[in-house]
Amino acid sequence: MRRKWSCRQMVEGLFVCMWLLVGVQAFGQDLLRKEITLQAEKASLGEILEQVSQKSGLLISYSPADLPQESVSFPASTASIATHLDRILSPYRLSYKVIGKQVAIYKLPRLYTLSGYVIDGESGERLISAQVYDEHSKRGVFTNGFGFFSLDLPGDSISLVVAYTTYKSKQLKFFHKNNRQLSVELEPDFELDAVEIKAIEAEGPHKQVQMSLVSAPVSQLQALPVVLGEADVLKALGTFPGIQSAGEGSANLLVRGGSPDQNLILLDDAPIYFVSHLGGLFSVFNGSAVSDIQLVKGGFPAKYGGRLSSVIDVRTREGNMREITGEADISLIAARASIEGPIKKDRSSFFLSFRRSYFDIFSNTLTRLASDGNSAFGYHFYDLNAKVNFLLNENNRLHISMYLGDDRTNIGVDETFANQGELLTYQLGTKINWGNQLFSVRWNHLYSPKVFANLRLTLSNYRFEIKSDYFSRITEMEDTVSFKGVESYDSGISDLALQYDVNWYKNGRHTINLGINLTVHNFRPGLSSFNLTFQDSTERDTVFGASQLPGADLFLYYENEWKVSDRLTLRLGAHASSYTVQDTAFGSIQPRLSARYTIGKNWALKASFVRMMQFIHLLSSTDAGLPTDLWVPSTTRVPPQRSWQVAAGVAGRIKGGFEVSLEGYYKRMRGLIAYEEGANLLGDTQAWEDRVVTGGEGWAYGVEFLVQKKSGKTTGWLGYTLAWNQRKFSNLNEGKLFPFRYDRRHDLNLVVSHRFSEKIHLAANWTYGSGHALSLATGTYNSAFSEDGVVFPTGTFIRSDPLQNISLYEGGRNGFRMRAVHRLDASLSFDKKKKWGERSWILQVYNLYNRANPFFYFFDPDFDNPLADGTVPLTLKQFSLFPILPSVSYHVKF
Amino acid sequence: MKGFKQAFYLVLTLMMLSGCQQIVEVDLPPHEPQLVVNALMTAGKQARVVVSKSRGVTGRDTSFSWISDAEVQINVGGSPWEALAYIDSFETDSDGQTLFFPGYYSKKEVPFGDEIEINVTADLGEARSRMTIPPQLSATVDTFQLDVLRDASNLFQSLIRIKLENPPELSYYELIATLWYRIDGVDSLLKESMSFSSQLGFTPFDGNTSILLTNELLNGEVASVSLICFTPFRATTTVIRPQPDRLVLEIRTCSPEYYNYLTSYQEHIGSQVAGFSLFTTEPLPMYNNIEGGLGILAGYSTRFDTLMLQ
Repeated sequence: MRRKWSCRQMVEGLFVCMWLLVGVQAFGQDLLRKEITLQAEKASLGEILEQVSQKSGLLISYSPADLPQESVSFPASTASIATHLDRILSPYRLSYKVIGKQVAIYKLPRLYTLSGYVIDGESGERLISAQVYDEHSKRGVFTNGFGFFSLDLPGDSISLVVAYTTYKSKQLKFFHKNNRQLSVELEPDFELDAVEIKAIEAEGPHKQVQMSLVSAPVSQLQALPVVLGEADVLKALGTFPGIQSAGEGSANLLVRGGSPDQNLILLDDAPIYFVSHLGGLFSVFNGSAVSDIQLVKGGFPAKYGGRLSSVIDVRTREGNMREITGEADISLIAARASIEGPIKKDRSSFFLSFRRSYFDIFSNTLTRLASDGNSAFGYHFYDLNAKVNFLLNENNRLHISMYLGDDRTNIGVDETFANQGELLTYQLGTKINWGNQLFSVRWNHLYSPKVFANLRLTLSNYRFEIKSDYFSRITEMEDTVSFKGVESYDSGISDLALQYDVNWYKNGRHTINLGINLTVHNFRPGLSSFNLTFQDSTERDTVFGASQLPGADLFLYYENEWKVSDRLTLRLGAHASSYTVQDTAFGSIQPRLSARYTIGKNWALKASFVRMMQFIHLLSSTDAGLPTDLWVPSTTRVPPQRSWQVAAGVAGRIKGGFEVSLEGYYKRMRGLIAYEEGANLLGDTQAWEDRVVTGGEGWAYGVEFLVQKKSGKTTGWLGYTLAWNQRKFSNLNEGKLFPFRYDRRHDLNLVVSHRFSEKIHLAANWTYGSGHALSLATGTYNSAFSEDGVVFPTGTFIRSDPLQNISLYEGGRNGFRMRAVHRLDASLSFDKKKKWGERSWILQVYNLYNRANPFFYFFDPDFDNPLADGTVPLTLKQFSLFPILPSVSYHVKF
Repeated sequence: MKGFKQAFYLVLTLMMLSGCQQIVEVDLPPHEPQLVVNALMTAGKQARVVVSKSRGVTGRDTSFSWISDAEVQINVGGSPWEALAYIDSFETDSDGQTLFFPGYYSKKEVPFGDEIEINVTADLGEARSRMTIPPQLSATVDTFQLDVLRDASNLFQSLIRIKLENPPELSYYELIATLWYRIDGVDSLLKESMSFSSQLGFTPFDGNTSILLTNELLNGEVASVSLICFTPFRATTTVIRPQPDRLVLEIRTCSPEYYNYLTSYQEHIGSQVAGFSLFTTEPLPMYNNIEGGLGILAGYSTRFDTLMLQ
């Protein structure tokens, strides 16, 4: 019988094949697996090797001069040939290699540690994830989050290549005979025809054990055309495979089938809980302030925890150590300015950046004019990034950074009017504010050239608040009735965290990362208060909802990046965490396993397995990133979310500097929560735990393809994702499996950036996504209460009246598909050098061919064309948010 | 600079063009009609069963959804009780507006305590269901008082205490309160549905004009329940000074099907109103106990308690 394979089974099969491939390759040295028994009694090493040769039947070759003269004794033991050889040879700095059916013994050169920093030659800022690679020994390493590297290299001639995207690579040749510290300065690459010297060999995703990593130079992410010309590095990540936006105009990202709350977003190591401005049109990350952004969607390093789906690590600029520089720009929405420079040259620096929207200047004025001064509406957002860093000495460095950001809305009404002998006065003042405050202090300490440590203290606070005062007075003849009310709503979350991380570059084979973190959370899941006064007498003064809810989590992690052989590297780690809230404690140990097996010079197979646990939940009815979303802790009734994910793939580099990767993943999620159907977000007197359904399960799997070019005249990437994403809750959709709202089968992005000359730069982005899932009634029937019909005063009868009739969701929950989304965005930048610096005009067009992409669907009653029986027909329509949208912005740099 | 001016004007022109809102019509897959049977029965009254069919949300189909040629048979306690006849009756309300109440009516009055089974046969297929109407609640209304708090704004408040003689099995109730009042110069009594408000976990239904509860809420004990009722607040000083005449409390002892139907209906309709767009919200499952079709067979026994007010 012919068996029909489902897509899920095919993806699972792919993983099995990948793992088998890695396994077979890794243990290909079958010759040395044979077990033999060895015993030595005051024997020379040569005699022992002879014994091995006789018992194994292998030919062992060596130079007698390399062997020590001393004699060795050990009792009889049985083990594989490889184990015996390792035990016998390693004390004498000897190693072996299998060549055909021979085993060659050779002497290892002495290793010395080369450590230091890779820094920007212009500004003195440290470069994260720069590659340091010795061509002779084929050993390499990436700089850590603070630009530090440590590499054990043989005492021999060295050909060191240091490379970083968008910087000129540097090659250093010297004889390495002592431990030494080295700071390598790289110059930014402004040349159009830059020759990528040696970088091809040094760079590429195949060089890292880390898989499922998304990274691109910030300058390229910033150049992507966006709505109204406000550059956004976070939203630009949505153009990579496996990552999609929660909707057009949303800053929330959904990674490998996860929901937005499953992303751990760090700004200078402090978690940030709400990343949207203006309903998601912009993220809170001011592009001028960001120096590096990376997104990990699988194979998570052990140091990360607390979320299921991704880690987005954003680092801000440290500030120029050598001279004062600045930049400023203005777009249709906001203006921003940044300044940076040394406090003391090459010892300390500062960075300061401020961005503010100015929509409120127009909206307040226009609404006042339109209402004869009776009402006003204003909205603005701002971001302030500030940072100072001090190089205390060669071994100590201190970074202090801060972020403040707010969205502020004000609505004011003050009206008095007469109506049928009554005089009515109505006053309303409403303020809706939300935003983040982050603060972090980080102290880097170098214990030795091999041990780098970072101690950090971070504070993160997110709060959403509404305050509304209203007053009404009605006067008729002698009677006056007045009514006054004050309502407020407050929610948020605060974190105070202390973490200590150590990177120990033990030797050429082992790099150990370990650390500990303690975080104290303070949840404020929605507190409402009402104070109503009638005729100067308080009628109701009520506070309800949950007030503050403290919690704490502690985690430890350990990870060993083990270079098993020249081809195989394993990263074996675990993340152990415990979480306490009220009287409840949860704990977990999460294995983190990754493997890389290189094939040739430019390719590598990669695989990973991770378990993750998430102790906090986001109550969101839309996933669109509304500030009303509530962060709540796990409790006995609402246990933590957990997942495991396996991923496998191949990564490499092809001619022309293209990086290529193909990955498959399978993610299983448990303990998911969702708002109870029909639950209200605001002002609900029910406890939040009563408003959620728990115990949800999720399945996400798919294949991702990426080809990316990071340097040269033309840069960009092509990403494609084929994915499935499903959910199951026992009390939703009658317990049946249903597609997740953001289940998208095909997702394709093409980003191209081309510099025609020093003055003109073009960037374009074409995106295509198949339709999201949607719950949509396709049928309707009369309820027991609508049997008599609904007769409106006009005599019209609305068929399918939502107030009376029952909707029939024939496809079940999310059983309908919206139309596909696609559009082309383009930007053209005109740059010119001036005496004082540089200026740029940037013209952008969003949705160039004016595609009507679905934002939401609605049923539109056609009152003007009733049917013969008097009923009003409904038509299903799609609302599109952004038509073709041009914008212009101006940028100066000095 | 000339080039930039041109670019600026181009951007300005494009921005003006982009002000157009884009709304596109979307096609829905065709809908296959299903048989719908709705029957909410009151013990001691004639049964009324309405048979209809579901239809697509969109389209310009004007065919009538009520089905008048079905066979509707009711059995009680396992024995044939009555075959219902279709009556296409029209009535007019007090304002002269036409309302129509088509349906299948029994001649007999619906009993309580015995299992009621319904069988419907129509062109679309066959449907059946069964349920039992429980007896009236043996409860006493202990305290029944009305406080007039704000006559200028027509705000009334009442406190009701109800003692429920709690049956051992799970029971379901619906409470409805109506205030009857007079206004100077108007001869007849006016009626106003009262809204319920309580700190207890009652399920308010249909704009709080009734509440649904189970005896589980009372934890198996004879208990007092305090309720507060308001007439809808009216922000006007037009001097109407209502004089309360009586308060009528209706207590319905419901079949579980009635309770489930009302609670799911409440959520179902609520989601459609609260949604960003009609019918495109998350589906709230609608309770359905009709085998082979859609709809409801449910019922209740009812009693009225009246408090005359000064």
